[in-house]
Amino acid sequence: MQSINEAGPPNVTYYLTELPPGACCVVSGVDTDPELERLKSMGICLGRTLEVVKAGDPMILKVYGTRIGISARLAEQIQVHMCGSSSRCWERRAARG
Amino acid sequence: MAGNPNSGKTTLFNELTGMRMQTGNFAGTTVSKKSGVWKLPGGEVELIDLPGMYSLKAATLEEKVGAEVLAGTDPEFPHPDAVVVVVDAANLERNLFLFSQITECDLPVVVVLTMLDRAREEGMDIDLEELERKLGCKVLGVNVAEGRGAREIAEAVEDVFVWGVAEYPRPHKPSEEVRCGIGCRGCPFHGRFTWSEQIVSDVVKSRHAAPGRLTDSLDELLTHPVIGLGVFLVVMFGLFYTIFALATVPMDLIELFFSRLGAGLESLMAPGDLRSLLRHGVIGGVGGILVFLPQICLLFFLLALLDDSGYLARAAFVMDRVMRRVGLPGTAFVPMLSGHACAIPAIMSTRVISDARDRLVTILVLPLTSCSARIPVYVLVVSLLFPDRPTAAAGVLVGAYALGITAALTAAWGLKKTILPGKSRPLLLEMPVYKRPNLRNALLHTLEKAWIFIRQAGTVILLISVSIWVMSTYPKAEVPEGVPPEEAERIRLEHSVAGRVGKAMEPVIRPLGYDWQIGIGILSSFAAREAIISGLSVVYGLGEEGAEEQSLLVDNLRKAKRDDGTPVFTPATCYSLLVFYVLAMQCLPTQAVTRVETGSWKWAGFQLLYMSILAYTAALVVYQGLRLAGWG
Repeated sequence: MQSINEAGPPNVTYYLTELPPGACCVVSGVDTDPELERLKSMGICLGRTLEVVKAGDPMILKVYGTRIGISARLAEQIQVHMCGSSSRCWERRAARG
Repeated sequence: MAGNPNSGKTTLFNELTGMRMQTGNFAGTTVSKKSGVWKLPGGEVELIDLPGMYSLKAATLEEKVGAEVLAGTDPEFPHPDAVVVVVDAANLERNLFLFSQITECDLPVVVVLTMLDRAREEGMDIDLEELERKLGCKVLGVNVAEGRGAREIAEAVEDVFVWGVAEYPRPHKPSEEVRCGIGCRGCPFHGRFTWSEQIVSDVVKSRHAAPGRLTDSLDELLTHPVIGLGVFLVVMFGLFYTIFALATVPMDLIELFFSRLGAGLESLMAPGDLRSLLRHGVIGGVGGILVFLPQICLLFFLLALLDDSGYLARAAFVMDRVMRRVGLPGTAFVPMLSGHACAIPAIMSTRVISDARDRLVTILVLPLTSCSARIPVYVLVVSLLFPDRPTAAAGVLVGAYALGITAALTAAWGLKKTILPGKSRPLLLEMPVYKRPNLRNALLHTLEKAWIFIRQAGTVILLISVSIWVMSTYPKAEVPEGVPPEEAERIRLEHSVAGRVGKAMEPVIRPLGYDWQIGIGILSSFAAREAIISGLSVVYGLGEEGAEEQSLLVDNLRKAKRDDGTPVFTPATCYSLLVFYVLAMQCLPTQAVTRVETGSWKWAGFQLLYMSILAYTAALVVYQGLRLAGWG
């Protein structure tokens, strides 16, 4: 499993709905609710990097470069760790190689 | 052919099979099935376009069906020979996830990489050979928009048959631990995604631009709660305005054609029942179906363009919050809005709603929206009410539309509280990058839907049209000599089954303010809603031709009096009739489509029942209420 050691408080767990737009994060836990299966198959699962594009209900996430509109009811069941401050996820990933 | 939604699979399928495609449903489900004939160098194969899937784990009905076909357990396609996996190059990780699941199906695989131009724009440089090595199967890059690559794909699949399906090498399966989820902390998806990411990082050489800047900026506006909503309303208004504006010319042409056809028939055939049957029953019925085609085709075409461009996902996003108040998902809004053109294609387009219960509720309430067939009736009633006051007339017209929408939303809310309880499935929607819509896809889609409409609705409408003709012609009346033709028509109608049923119905509809003449008009509306106009025209002694001269008809109706001298069309009666037509289910072809989309007559019957009760009760309340207020 990838471990992200970027700047930002390490290992503080947030819920996805708590994050502001522009936040970049890594999924640290998703409930096993069958409702969430769809979510996982779209890339929102343990260890993946997400970017919050728009907060609110529904909110917009970016995962693997794809925009996904998601209801808060689902998003609030996703736990994440921060992966840093405001620079965009993709740029950071590209820089990493 | 399998792949993610929005991966360019449909475009590729259309390219490979051209016009030789068939559509339908997978047996016993409402999942659409598309298959076509694909010409390979050595022969022809049947290419089955599986619904877009994110995973074979069957979280949705589409995925379940797709998984069954690939596993060889679908009764209709027991032994697939090979699978073409469509992979979106700009979205490799997620697409490879599905690929990794498909490798377990023990089928030859050919991977087709689409959207390479977009990947290139993002600065992605994909090493195709390395990808082939890693995946263990042929990988072909195509650019479908430019028409390149179809031949290479055909050759690659031909190769499978040359080798022999059983002998052709299978792709590499990801290792046990990737698949079984050990070390995944309970997330079986984790292993596969990590595997995908590993492959992508090995295979993609550089990736500098952040993808989709234009999309990002557009989305800031279009998903904004206020601006986005405003844009959506403008787009919808523009859509319907375009449809109504562009459809009138072909609609008039079609009406003209059929009336000429009818007149021609009159002159060619001897007078008699057969001629009348052909003219009014058959030609009238067929003409009645075809006259809706321009609207339906335009609606589907424009919606397909909007969908392909990526905008509809944003519309669903923006409307989601509003629709949740009545327990419907945002994706229900476009079908419900389409119901204002015609409920039949609107019900067909509810397939975009992923949750079965949400879809069912939407289908059940959709016909409450005022479709264009109701407009002639609204106009008639409003002219009766307000002969010289156009603003009041317009106001009431808008009110009728508003009533339809309110009724639909309230009914949805009611259904959710009672018979179909449960929260709406929460929104989880991919919003693809904006792109120029593909005209050919839209055209093929339109043809597909138009043909379904003609086949399903057409047969029912024809049947009803002929039945109503039979009911209005038999038994024949003895018309005395020297009676003017319009009077003769009136006598014949009264004497027929339709006339007798109308008279017998009178006690039932009296509380709504209608007498038996209006009753006959309502009966004829079962063939086509606007048939009430010609029905009333005949019944009040103006003959069928009287319907053509609207103002004359309205004048006559206004002067019509009952046996006791009171006017028939009092304001109370008019409003009651209006409300009845807003809410009543008179378009029986809608039942046919409902049955197909819901899979049973039970729901179609329920729809007919609850709408009839609703219409009757509302009309009753309106009539009695207005009468008490002194408007009767």
